[in-house]
Amino acid sequence: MINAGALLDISSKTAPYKDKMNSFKWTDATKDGKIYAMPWDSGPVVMFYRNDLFKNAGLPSDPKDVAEKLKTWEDYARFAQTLKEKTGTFMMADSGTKTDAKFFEQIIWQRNQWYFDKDGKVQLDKPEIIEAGQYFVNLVKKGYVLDVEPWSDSWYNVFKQNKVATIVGASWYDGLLSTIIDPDAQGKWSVVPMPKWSVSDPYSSANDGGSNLAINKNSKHPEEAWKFIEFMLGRNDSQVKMLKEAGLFPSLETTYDDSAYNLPVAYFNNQPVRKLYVTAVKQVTPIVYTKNYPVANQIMRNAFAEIVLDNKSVESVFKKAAQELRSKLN
Amino acid sequence: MGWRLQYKLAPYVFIAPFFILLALFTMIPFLFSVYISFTDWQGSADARWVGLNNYGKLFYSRIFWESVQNSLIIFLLYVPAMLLLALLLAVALNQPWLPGKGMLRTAFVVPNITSVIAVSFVFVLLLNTNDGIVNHLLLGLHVVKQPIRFLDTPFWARISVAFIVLFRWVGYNMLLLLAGLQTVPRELYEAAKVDGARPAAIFFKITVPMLNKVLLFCTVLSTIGTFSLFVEPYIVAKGGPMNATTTPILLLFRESFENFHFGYASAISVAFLLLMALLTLLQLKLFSGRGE
Repeated sequence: MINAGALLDISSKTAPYKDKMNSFKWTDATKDGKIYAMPWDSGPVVMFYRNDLFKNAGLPSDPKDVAEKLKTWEDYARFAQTLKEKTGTFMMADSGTKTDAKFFEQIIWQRNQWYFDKDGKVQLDKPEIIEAGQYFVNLVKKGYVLDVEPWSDSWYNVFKQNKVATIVGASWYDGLLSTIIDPDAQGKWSVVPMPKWSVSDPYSSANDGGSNLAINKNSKHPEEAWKFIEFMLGRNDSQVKMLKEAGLFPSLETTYDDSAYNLPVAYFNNQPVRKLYVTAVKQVTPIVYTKNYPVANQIMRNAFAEIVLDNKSVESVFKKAAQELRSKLN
Repeated sequence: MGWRLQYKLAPYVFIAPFFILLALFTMIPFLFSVYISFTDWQGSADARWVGLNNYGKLFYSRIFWESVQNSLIIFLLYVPAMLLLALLLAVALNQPWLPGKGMLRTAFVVPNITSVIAVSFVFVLLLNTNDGIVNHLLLGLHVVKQPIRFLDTPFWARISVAFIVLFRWVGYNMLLLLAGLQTVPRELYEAAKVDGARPAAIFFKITVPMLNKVLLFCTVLSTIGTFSLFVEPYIVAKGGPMNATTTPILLLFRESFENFHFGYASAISVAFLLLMALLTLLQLKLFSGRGE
């Protein structure tokens, strides 16, 4: 939208909020030093898990113990193996052939890697990124991933059927889990920080999604629009209300010492989960999606399908995908 | 204004609304997209003239040719089967002795007038690997050991899309053929019977040749329809897996409304028009060579 020249430059209006919002949120709202959108909510990634399924498999189930025992992706795979062997349930629900590549994107983002480097050059064939792709493919091939297309009807069903134990995903799953994904499972879901690549990694989380509000360049009432945006997104009260009632995690950092963050949440077995989102959001690497993201995401979905269906090596397919992406962007 | 002039003008005024709408909503957008196919327009105010650049890129684009190839495969998977089935149904429903004809005709046309989105979603529910009822039945009857991944592999996804299209359009084609059948003079059949022709001979020597024009019409429509398939592959497989069900129109949609490459997408649409014109001419040639 920014590149289409459709949005109003609101740099001066947003200036007072510059230091109050998650800094990484501004990067996607900025072009040539001008700001075109006001951050709404952020999506710091954490790990949601089913404490009852963990317990059935003899795994730790209390959030404290899980956070202690499941720190790295290696641990994650080990938990997955136990789950599968002991109870036949799956660690996550995603698809080898029809993935939306979100899990992959989160685990590279967490490593301070993205499809593009800081100058926008494609770096999909970098060793760290290939390693992350390999990790996902391994989970799929070992049978730890229940193969359903994310957000399809089957995807929703497998959670209700108690077949899947974790969702590594953004804080906004908070609101979705309790309302549409698994509304009957009150008390069965818990939250721990996102697993890392290595315990010493400086960043431990990623961001997935989140929204902004912007003003149309041709708006006849830009002042009124801004007043609304300021009321909705710039005021602690409004943002805390959205946190409590819709599970949207505010980008507005001045809210973070509000008492709402320490409240136990009944759905999550009375765990004060919102505190975890605050910790996570402070550890999000500031990366930009960029306008070429949709193309990269499309190519990635196909790349995983090719790896799984044609049994090709991750490295060869990622190299080919990187080439394709480069030629596409020229 | 003289009466004479009014008399001459009136017909043009009566048909004007159609042509005004056609110009506004079809011709002008069409010409505009031809123009932007020569630019790198991304939705912003300024578009740069890039000449034939988009077409060059398109010509060397692997995925564009893949999408053409996908359409051809899907076409071959269902059009012959659909036309044969439609023809057989039409012949059956044209028999004077058959009871309940009206109801049967309606039944076969219902899939066509049902919303394509609804139909596609129902097929997703029927066919999906994890809890689709088709796989449940196949597993339950021990026809297969593992669920068939109807929507998750290129091979099956194409077959599934082809099947949905067949399901939706067989009734419509049957209707066209039925109309065609009713224009075939009864005397021809009576004469053939008097001459002692067998039913098969009557079918191939009288019915099929007499329906040549209608069959041509059906084939041309199906060709254009297959290449511009959008809703079915988009809903059941998002054009995947591995682009196996991506048609030129789906590609166009992706380039324009997901990637905002309007210039490139317009080049796809112009190339698509030329391709369709070419295929239609080819089919006209093919059929006219056989008919007379």
